[in-house]
Amino acid sequence: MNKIISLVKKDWKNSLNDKMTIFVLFFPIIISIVVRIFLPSFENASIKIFIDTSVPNNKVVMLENYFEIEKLENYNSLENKVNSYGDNLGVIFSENSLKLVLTGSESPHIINVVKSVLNYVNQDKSLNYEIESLGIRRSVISDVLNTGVLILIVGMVGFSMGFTIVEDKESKMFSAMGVSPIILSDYLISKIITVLIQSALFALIAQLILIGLNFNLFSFFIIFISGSMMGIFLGFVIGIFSDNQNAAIAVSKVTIFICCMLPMISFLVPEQFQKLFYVIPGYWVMKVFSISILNIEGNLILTLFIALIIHLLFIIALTPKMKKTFKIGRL
Amino acid sequence: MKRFFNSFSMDFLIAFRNKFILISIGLAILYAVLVNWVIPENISLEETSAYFYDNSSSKIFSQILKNSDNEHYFLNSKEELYDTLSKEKNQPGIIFEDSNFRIIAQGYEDEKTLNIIASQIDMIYLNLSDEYIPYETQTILIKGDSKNSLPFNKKMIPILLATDIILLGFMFSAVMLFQEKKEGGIYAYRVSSAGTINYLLSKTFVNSIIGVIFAFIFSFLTLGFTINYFQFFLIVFLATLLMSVLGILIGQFYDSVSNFVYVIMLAAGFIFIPLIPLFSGSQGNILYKLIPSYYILFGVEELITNGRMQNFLEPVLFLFIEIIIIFLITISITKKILIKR
Repeated sequence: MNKIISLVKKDWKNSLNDKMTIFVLFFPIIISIVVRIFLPSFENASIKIFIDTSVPNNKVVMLENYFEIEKLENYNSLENKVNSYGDNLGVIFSENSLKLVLTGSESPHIINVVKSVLNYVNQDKSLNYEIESLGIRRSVISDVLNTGVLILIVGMVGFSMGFTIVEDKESKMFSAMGVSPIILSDYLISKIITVLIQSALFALIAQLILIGLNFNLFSFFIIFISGSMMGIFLGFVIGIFSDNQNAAIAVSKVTIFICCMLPMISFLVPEQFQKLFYVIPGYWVMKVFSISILNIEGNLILTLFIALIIHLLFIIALTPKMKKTFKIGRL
Repeated sequence: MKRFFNSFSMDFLIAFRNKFILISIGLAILYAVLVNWVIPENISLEETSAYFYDNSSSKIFSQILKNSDNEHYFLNSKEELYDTLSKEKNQPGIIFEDSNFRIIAQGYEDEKTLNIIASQIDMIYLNLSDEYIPYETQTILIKGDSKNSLPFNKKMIPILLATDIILLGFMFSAVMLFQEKKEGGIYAYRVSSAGTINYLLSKTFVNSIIGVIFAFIFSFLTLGFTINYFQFFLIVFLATLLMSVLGILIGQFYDSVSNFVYVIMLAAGFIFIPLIPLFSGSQGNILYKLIPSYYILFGVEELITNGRMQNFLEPVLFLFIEIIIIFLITISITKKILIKR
């Protein structure tokens, strides 16, 4: 136990020695603040339309109930705006009715929405309806985004551990350890403990900035466990297969693609092909994420358990390679 | 010029030795496979707009909506509706009565969104009443070339391309720097006559060329001859150049990758932000436009869809201005920190 504690202390000391560690410590704070700045435009992405002077004032007032409106000086500038990139729809008034100006490359969904509202506004009927609010202040999008940030931050710490393993390799630390009483499992456990402490700290800071004190402890715990599991696994793969930092970048590119991007793409693939993704550890982390946040049907605890087992099996399968590359023969 | 080519060929060799080029080619082929065969062409990202309960005596509203093209979720009782709303939390609910309707909002929706939903529901009531004057809004199509909205898999091309060339440019240039710091190459530079500008240009150009190679393989395998490659390469080249200069600017303050990965991740986070306007179909405000990936995403998407000249010049101009500003800052900092330390 003492050996593990001293290894953990060494990792902390090393990471605090770097001048730029201050940035690392601020990382969760910066990323959470950025998300908070951009979140409102994510949640309330109201449709913007462009009008010219032909639209009478009473129609402008009606349109303002539905869209964000920018008034342009003449039809030419409206046409230019519609022609610039993004889905910019124009509305003009001619022959006693509102007309939609578009290029045809806009999203069909947005065209349909604007068209149906124009159909309604052309009826000259004032909108009147009863409304009741359930009082929920956070949207699903913000939940997804907050969880995504949490997984990123927690996973990041494990990922960065991979690079410290490579540094240990480069600094010939393993040769020194080979003649010390430290065994492979001491080294691995110390790394895992460092990652867990650091990522718990970061995750809490991020959670407090993003949501405040009012967060669901259970889902926080689930996300924390699955995120750090993925990060630690990525870290080990990078540490094992890279001999130097440049190779580590190359290995991480491929591992991130397989462990993070492919599971995300699996969401877009038809049900019958999902089985192909079962062997990817990250697929199960993504599944945990979708069950707990997106309310997709499935057993949360069972999926988390499968994720744990698959990660563990992969790490066990990597042990012979670890023994060889770390040059610490004893487990 | 000769000095530049000397450092350029040396950096190119380093990039080749580090397998940067090989990784880029491999990823380009993998991405092409994903876009062509794995990611579906059509995917409905827009779910149902609301949950419904028909409390009218004739149950006519559920009949009307069930006959329409879109899928609608009807629930059997008010209780079931409230239950679903509190569980799903992503859509509002609507209760149809005989002569009016009630919207049950989640609470986070803005007024405009609710008004749009209300107008569509009210239209059904209007349709059933005598006041209704059948009316279909006319559309004016401008400059009617072959402009179609992109299928879903093609829409992923600018995203995969931009995130990758940006990250590769950013990472590779910083990693080259770390390697020189470690192997002492930087000391040799301090006493050589190559100069700071050559030092920066050779590294950034090598990365930009790798970016162009990656972009060419990926786009050729997915889009074939349908785009203007001159414009395309120019945007990719400038984008990678910008990110490589940024990589060197920030990388100078670090000695190894292990802490720099946090910067890489933060950069990756920033790169993804302009996806919000890209998917929501708006242009986004000035905050978005300040992020380098904004013009790459929109520039490439524009090239794939319409290729309008006015929309090509804006990203090129902005990228150019950004490159000049950041390049000047990098030169002065590199002189102070890296070369003359």
